[in-house]
Amino acid sequence: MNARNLYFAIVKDLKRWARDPVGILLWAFIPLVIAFVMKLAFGGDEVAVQAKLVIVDPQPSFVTGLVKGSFSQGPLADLFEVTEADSADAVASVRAGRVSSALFLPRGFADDYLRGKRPQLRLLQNPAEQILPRISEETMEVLIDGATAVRTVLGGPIEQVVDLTQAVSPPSDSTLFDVTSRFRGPAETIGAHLFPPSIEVVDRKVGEGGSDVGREDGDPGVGFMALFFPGVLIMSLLFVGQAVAGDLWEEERIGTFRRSQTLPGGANYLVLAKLIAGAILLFVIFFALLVVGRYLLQIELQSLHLAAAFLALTGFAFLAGLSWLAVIAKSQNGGAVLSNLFIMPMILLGGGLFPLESMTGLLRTIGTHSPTGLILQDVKGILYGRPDWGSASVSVAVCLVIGLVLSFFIARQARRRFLGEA
Amino acid sequence: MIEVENLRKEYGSRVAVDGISFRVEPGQIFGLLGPNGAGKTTTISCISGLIRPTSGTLNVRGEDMTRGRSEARRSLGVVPQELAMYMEVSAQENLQYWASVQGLSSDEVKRKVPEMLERVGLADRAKDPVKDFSGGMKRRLNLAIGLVHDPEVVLMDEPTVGVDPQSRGHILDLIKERAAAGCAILYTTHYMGEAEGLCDSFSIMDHGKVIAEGTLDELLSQAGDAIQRQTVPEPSLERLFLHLTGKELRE
Repeated sequence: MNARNLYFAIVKDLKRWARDPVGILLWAFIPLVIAFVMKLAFGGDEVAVQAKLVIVDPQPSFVTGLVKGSFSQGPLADLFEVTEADSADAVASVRAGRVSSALFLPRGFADDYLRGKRPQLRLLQNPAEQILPRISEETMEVLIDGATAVRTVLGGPIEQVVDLTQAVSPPSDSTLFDVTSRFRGPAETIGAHLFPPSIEVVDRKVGEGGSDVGREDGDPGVGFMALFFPGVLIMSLLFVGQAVAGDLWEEERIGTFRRSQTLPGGANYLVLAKLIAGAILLFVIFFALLVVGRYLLQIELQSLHLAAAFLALTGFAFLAGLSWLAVIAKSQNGGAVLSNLFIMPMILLGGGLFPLESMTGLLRTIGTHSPTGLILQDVKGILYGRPDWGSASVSVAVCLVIGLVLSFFIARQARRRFLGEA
Repeated sequence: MIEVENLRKEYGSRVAVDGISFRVEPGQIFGLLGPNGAGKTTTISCISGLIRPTSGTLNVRGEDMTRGRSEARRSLGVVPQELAMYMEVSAQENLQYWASVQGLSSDEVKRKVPEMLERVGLADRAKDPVKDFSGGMKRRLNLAIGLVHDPEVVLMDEPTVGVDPQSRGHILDLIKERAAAGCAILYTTHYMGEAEGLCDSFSIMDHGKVIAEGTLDELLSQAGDAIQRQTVPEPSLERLFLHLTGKELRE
């Protein structure tokens, strides 16, 4: 294939789309309109889904009870659905995608905490989710901050109480009075924050690099749009992909495919050029959508350029797949019907219209393992500050290979379809 | 320059071209005539590489065109019946693109595109989007795209369909000019008067076969009294054509 022709054809397609952008831009931004409608229809800023947290407590105690109970109090009760399980079941639940996170309280946790040691908590997160495990992690950080503060302020009296509970003989009245009075002063000072524990989740949300981000009253934090927005990008990818695939039929309709086939290198370059031009177009559209998301919708999105590049590169395979569906059909309309047979399940089950976090059971398993679901996991990681570059690199590499291989078959099928080649 | 020998193209049980042969020399304008469905466009499609012939040989500048992507394609210009161009971009951008993918260097593109726009009378509208052009202007641009790389062999499939007399005159002048410069031109049309004034020799096809060939005088003399008697005041190619192919309507 002639690289020079490839370059000129890419420039040609970008110019054509730039001169007549209405159709493609319409497809690109329709999902954004859908997002607004969904926000209005479903109450906007309310958090629509709960994080499912499973807690493993091999040595139940008063202290571990406090930890577990804290997830069932006040605002946290709205955010979390907490269950208990043994270690193996908890790991299996995370791997199967049934829960967002598993919190492992180690043996001796209560003793270590009360003795001022630093107990190690382990939080296992569902890799298929980005936002809900993040809520779990942020909440744990707040709880640990609070618990550490309590241990620092009341360290002496706590250790005295622990010693008394382990003593062989009962404490004397004077000892009890001494302990009580040592608790009273600091406890009265910080009591308002301790009972119940001071966990102001509404004051925290997913933010830059995992740090706390202050916000104004009424700001929704991890809200509907944060959950829904990545799906908007996926819908745009699919719609724009369908438009680009339809452009192959347009080349046939206006006779330019046939004319290209008379060139010394044939028309193969035309197909690959259109896919590459489509990926470039996707980058521009995604970047624009992400800017809208971050600055107009005020969603805490990060690494916009990297996310746009990731989506454009992985989108290359989707463009190729949709183009292949377009040319195996006998007409442009037939191609659109075939494309829709792929697009609609991806929108409905693959995280386009409904966030994967809001799905349960089999639907969620299907969604997270669908092509768009797999891409969504990586892009959410990039957008919400938890990128898994290893996974993202593999996704990009796989999508580029798929796209390149498919481009060969698309060109061959296009020649058969448009020129009647055997 | 163009040598077609026993060319045959079948689509299943239907034979679109049935063993035709002809030869077009440099500087010659060769008219391939016939009613709709005669096999003219199929013949041009085989020579231009759009479809593979079932059998026969196709040589352009001595190279076999049926063997993959021949270098001879670089010297081939195709002016298809349809307006094969991009409507959203300008005439200049269309010409630049097609000239570039034909293999012209950027310097050649810079030189030849304005020349060609001037030659087809589109210089003053060079930067306008093609979708705003009239039918005649689009036809002229379609011709310019096929000629911008100075091909030695040009295949023209009804290049004057639906244009006004002015644009037609302009297009025909340009074709004669290229032939005078040594270009071998294979030309199809339904306008017999146009072919009569333009072409040096002819093949008349019907039902996939060549039913007559030669110069106009040779064809008229072959027809003999059959056409002479009907000729008032003098024989014409159109009358000959109808004499040979009949007056019934075709698909």
